[in-house]
Amino acid sequence: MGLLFWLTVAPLIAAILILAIPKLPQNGYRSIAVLGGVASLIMTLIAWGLFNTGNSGFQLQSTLHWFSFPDAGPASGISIGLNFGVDGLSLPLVTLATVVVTLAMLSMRKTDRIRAYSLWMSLAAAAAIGVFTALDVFTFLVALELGLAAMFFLIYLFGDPDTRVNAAFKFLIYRGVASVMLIIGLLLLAFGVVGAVSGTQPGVSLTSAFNLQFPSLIHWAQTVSTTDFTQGARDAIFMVIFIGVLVEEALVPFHTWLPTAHESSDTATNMLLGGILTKTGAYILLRFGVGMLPGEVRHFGVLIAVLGVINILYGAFVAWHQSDWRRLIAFGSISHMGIVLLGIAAVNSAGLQGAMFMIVSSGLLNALLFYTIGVMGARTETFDMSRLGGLSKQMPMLSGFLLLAALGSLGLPLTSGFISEIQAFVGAFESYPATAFVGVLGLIMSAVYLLYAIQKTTFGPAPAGSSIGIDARPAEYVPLVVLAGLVLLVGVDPQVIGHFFNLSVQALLRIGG
Amino acid sequence: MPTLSIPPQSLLTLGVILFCLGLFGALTRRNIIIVLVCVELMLNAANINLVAFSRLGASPNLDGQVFALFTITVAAAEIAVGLALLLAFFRLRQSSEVKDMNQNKL
Amino acid sequence: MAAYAWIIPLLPLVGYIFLLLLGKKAPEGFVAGVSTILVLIGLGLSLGVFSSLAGTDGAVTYTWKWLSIGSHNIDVGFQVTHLNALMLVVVSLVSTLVFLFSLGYMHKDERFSVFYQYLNLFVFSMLALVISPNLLQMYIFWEMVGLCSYLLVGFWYFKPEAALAAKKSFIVTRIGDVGLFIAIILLFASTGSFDFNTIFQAAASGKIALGFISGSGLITLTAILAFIGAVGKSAQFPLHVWLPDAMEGPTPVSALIHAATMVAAGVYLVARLYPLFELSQPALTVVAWIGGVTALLASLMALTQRDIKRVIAYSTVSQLGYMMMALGVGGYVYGVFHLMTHAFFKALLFLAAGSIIHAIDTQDLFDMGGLRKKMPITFWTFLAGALALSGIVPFAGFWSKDDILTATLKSGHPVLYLFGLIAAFCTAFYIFRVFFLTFAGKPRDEKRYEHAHEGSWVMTLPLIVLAVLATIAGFFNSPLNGNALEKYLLRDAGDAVVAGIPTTSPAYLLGHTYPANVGLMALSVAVGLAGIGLAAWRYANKNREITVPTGEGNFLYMLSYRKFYLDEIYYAIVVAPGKVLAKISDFVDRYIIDGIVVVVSRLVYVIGLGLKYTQTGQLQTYGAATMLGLFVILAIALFRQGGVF
Repeated sequence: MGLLFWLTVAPLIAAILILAIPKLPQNGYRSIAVLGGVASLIMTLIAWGLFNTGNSGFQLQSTLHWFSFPDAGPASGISIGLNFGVDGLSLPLVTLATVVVTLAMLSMRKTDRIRAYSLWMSLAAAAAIGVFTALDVFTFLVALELGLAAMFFLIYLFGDPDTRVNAAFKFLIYRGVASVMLIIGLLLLAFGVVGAVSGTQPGVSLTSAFNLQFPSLIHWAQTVSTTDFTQGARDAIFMVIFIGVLVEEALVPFHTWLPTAHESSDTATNMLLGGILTKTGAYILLRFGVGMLPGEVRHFGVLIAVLGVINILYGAFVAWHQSDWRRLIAFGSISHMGIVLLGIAAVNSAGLQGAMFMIVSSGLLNALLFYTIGVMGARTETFDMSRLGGLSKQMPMLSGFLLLAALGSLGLPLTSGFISEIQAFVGAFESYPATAFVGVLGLIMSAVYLLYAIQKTTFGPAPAGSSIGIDARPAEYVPLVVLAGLVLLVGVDPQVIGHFFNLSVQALLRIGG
Repeated sequence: MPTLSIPPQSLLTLGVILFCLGLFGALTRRNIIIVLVCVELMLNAANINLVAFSRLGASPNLDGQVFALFTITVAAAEIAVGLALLLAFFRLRQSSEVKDMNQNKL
Repeated sequence: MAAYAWIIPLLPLVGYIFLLLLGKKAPEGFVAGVSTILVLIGLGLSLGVFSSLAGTDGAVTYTWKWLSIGSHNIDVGFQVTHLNALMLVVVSLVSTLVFLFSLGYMHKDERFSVFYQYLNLFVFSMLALVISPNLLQMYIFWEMVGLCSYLLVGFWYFKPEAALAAKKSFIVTRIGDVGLFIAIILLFASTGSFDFNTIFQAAASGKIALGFISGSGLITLTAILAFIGAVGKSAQFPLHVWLPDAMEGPTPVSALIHAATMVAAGVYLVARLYPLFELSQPALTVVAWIGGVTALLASLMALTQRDIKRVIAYSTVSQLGYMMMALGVGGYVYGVFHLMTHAFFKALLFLAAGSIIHAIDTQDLFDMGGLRKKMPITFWTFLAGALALSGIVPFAGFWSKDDILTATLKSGHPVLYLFGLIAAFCTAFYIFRVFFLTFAGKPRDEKRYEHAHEGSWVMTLPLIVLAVLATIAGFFNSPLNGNALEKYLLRDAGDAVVAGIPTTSPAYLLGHTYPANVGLMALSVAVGLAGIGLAAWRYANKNREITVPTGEGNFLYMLSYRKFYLDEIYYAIVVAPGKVLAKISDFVDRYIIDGIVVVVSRLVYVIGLGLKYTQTGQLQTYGAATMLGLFVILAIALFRQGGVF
C-alpha cells in the first residue's frame, strides 16, 4: 500500500466519510469531497518528485493482494487485487485527472442533495484517477466500471430536468457496451498471450506467464512470435478493443451519447466527463493498442488515420452548426480526439507524443470551457448562443477566459493546443501524408466554429431584455486561473510534461520495433 | 442391533414420490400454506436422498447427514420467514391465495 | 551588441504584464508613458544592433532546448541577421511613434489601458517573430501577431461590424497559415529540423526529400505552401479580403499592424526563406505573378472607395503586392527596401488619416474638404506621404518603387512591369483623390468643419517624424550613397561562406541587383505625375462640382467600388456551401446517426413490450414453466447420452 494506492483511494475514503457522517451542513459534505481531491493532488505532486525520469518502466508500484485461485492450474499465478503503478504516459494523465476532479468538486452547484452529489463525485473521481494509476487489467476494469456507474448517477440525479433520464441511459448503454468490449478484448489479450507462451516456450512456467499485470503483458506481447499467437487472433482482439475504444471515446459514428450527455449535465459533471472520462479511450488505445499490439496498430493504420480525419472534420462541421455551447464543446472534443487518432495511427515518436499532449490539452481545455460556460450560463440562464451577445461588457474577465479557452482549442501557439496539434501532424505527415493533408483543414474549421461562437457570445451588442450579469467572483477565479495557467504552461514550456511522455514514447516504439 | 437392510432403490423411490407430490402441490395448490407445506415435502425428499447416500453410497461418510441437518435448519427458518410473509400478505390483501401474489407484475 | 537583441522584444512583454497587473484604472498618461518609454529603449537597442552588424558578415544565433520529439530536439532562441536587424529598427520605430500617437487618439476610451496592453503584446510578438531562429518559433509568433490583430480589430467589440471584421481577419489569415503550417511540417519531416540554416543547407546540397516527392518537387511544394501563408498575412490576392475590413479597428492599429508591420510579415517570411525560394523557379514565378496581380487589382479597387481608411488599406494591399513582385523577380533587396520605406510613408498616411478622423469624426471622403487651413501640419505631412506613395522624386517611395519596376523589366517580366506601371498611375491618382477631397476646395460638411482642429503634440510629433522619414528614407539605398542598404542586406548571403557552402552556389546570392536606369526612372515619375494631374483636374478643379458618385449604370465604376465582387463571390462559393455542409452534417448527426440509435432503442423497447405479456405474475405458472424447461433439457441430455441425436 504505497503512495499510488492512497492517491487513488483518497476520494474513496472521502466517499465513505460522506456516507458515514450524518447531518453535516451543505458545505461540510462538499468540503470532504474537495479534501479527498486535494489529498490526491498533493500526493500526485509527491509522485512527481519521486518519479525517476531515467526509467521508462512502471514506477512507484504498490500492490494490495485480495485473492487468487490456488486450484486453478495455470491460472493459479493470477493475483486479483488492487495494483497501481505509473509510467511516463500515465503520470501526466494522473495529474490531469487529479487537477480536473478537484476543480470539478469545487464547482459543484448548490443543491439540496449535496450529500449525494459529493458522494457520486468522489466515486467518479476515484474511478477517473484509478483508470490511469491501474497496473493490472483487473484494477483497470474495476476503475472503468466504477466510473461508469458514478457518472450515470451524476447525470441521472443532477442533470437537466427535462433530458437527464434519456441522457443518463444513453450514456450507460453506450459506455456499458464499450466496457463489455474492453473486458472481452483485454482478457482475450491476456489469455491469448498466455496460450501462445504455454505452447512453445519451454523454459517458461505457465504460472509465471499467466498474469494480468501490464509489465508482464507488455513483456510477453513482444516475446511471442506470430506463429504462436496468430495474426488472425491478434487482429480480432485488436478490433474488439478498438471498437470498444471508439465507443468509449465517443468517436464517429458511436459518438451521439456525448453531446446528449454534455447537454444534459451540469457544470461539475461536464468538467469531469469532458476533462477526464472521455480521455480514457485514447489512453486504452495507447496502453493496450500501441503498447501491446503495435503490429496491429500499424496494420490498421490507414483505417485509424482515416477515421481520425473523419472525426476531425465531421466534429468541426457539426460544431459549426450548434447553437448550444455545450454541444459545441462536445463536438469540438470529438474533433480533438480525431487528432489523437491521427497521431496514434502514425506510430512514430512525433505522432504518439502529439496524441499524448492532445489528451492532456483537450482535457484541460474542455474543463476550462465547460467551467467558463457554466458560470456564464448560471448568470444568463442560457447556453444558447443565439440568445447571448455582448458579454464582454458585463463579464470582461469571464469573456477573456472563454476567449483563451477557445484560442487554445483552435490551436493557437503558446497554448497547449498548438504543441499537441503540430506534433500529431508532424507524425501524421511522416506516415500518411495524403490523409494528414485533408486533416489539416480541420485547423481552419476549428477557427471557424470557435470564432463564430465567440463572436455571437461575447462580441456585439447585448440582446434586448438580457439581464445584467456580474463578472467572476473571487472564488471562481481558482478553477479559471489554474486551468488557464496550465494551458499556458504546457504551451510555453511543453517539456514540463514532454520529458515524461518522451520516456513512454521511446519505450512504446522499442516494442513496436 | 439388527441390521436393517432396505435396498437403496426403495429409499430413492420414496424420495422421488415425495418430491413429485411436493412439486405437484407447490405448482397447483391455491392456498399458500399448502404450497409452503409442499415445499417442505420437497426438502424432505432431498433429505431422504442425502441420508440414504450417506449410509449406502459408494463411500459412506457423515457428510450427507450433516447436510440433512443443515437442510432441516434452513427449512425451519424458511417456514418462519414464509409464515411471517404470509401473515403480512394476508393483512394487506385479505387473502391467502397464490394467484393474488402478483403485485410485482408491471 | 547583437547578443542583447533578446531584450528588445522582452521590453514590450514587460510592459504588457505590467499593464495587465496594473488593471484598467491606471491613468492614461502613465500607461502610455511607460509603454512608449519601453519601446523607445527598444528602438535605441535596435539601432545599436543594426549598426553593430554593419561591418560583419555573420549572423548571431543563440538557442536552447525547448522540447524533445523522439530523438529530435526543438530549440528556441534568437537570431540576428542583417535582414532581422533592419526589421527590428522599422518595427520599433513605427511602434514608438504609434504608441505616442495613440495617447491622443484613444484619449478617454474606456478601455484605454487594455488598448495599450494589446499593443504591447503585439509589439512583443512582432519583434520576437523578427528575430526567430527557426520556423517553428516564427510560426508561433506569426500566429501571436494574428491574435493581436484579431483582438485589436475587434477592440470596439460592441460594434457588430468590428466583431465580424475581427473574425474574418482571423479566419482568412488562418487559411493561409495552414499552408505555412504544412510547409513547416514537411520541411521538418524531410530535414529533421526547424532551423533556417539547417534547412537552407539541406536544400542547397540536395539532401532533402520525402518518400512521396522528389527533392526539387519538395522545395517547390514547401515554398509555395509557405507563400500561401504569406499571401494570407500580407493580404495578397486571393486572400486580401480581410485587410480592408480590418479598418474597423482603431486607426493607430491600422497604421501599426495593418500597414507597417504585421502585414509586412508575409513579405518578411518570403525574404527570410529566400534561399529556399531561389532554388525553385516555379515558386518564384508564382510569387511574382501573385504580387503583380495584387498590386494592380488593389490599386483599381482603391480608385473609387469612399472611406478614407479603405482607400489607404487597398493602397497597402497594392504596395505589398509590389514587394512580393520584387521578391518574385529576384529583387530581394528591393522588396525589403520597399518594405522599409512603405512602413514609414504608409504609417504616416494612416496616422494622418487618424488625425483627420479624430478631428471631424467621419471617414467618408465626401463629408470632408477644405481642411488645409484648419490642419496645416496634417496637410503638409499627408502631402509628403502622398508624394512618397506616388513615387515622386526625391521622396522615399520613388527610390524603392523605381528599383522594383526596374528589376521587374530587366529580369524579363514585361507584362508584370506593365501591371506595375498601371498600378503606379492608379496609386498616384487615388491618393491625390483622397488628398484633394480632404484638404482642397470648400468644406462639404460645415458643422464638422467647425469642430476640426489639429491634435496635440503627441499626435503631430509622430506625423512630423514620419514625414521626414518618408521624405528622406529613400536615400538609404540610392545610387547617390552607393546603395548602402543593398550592401548591408546582401551581407546575409555571407552566411553561406561561413557555413562552408561554395559562393558560386546560386542559393545564397539572395537575388540579383540591377543598376538604376535614368530612363525608367523618368518614365515612372511621369506616370506618377500624370496620375496626380488627373486627380487634380478631377477633384481640385474649381469648375467641376464635387458630387457623391452614384455609380449607376457605370459598370466599371461599380466593379471597382464593389471590389470586383470578390466578397460576394467568396460568400457564394466558400462560406455559403460551408454553412450548408455544416447544416447537413448536423442534420445527419441528429436525424440519421442518432436516428438509427433511436430506432434500435425503440426496437428493443417494442420487443420488451411484447415479452411483457409472458410475465403473468403467477408464481405457479413460472414454476411450471421452469419445470417444463428442466424436463426438456434433461430429456435432451438423456437422449444424447443414449445416442438418439
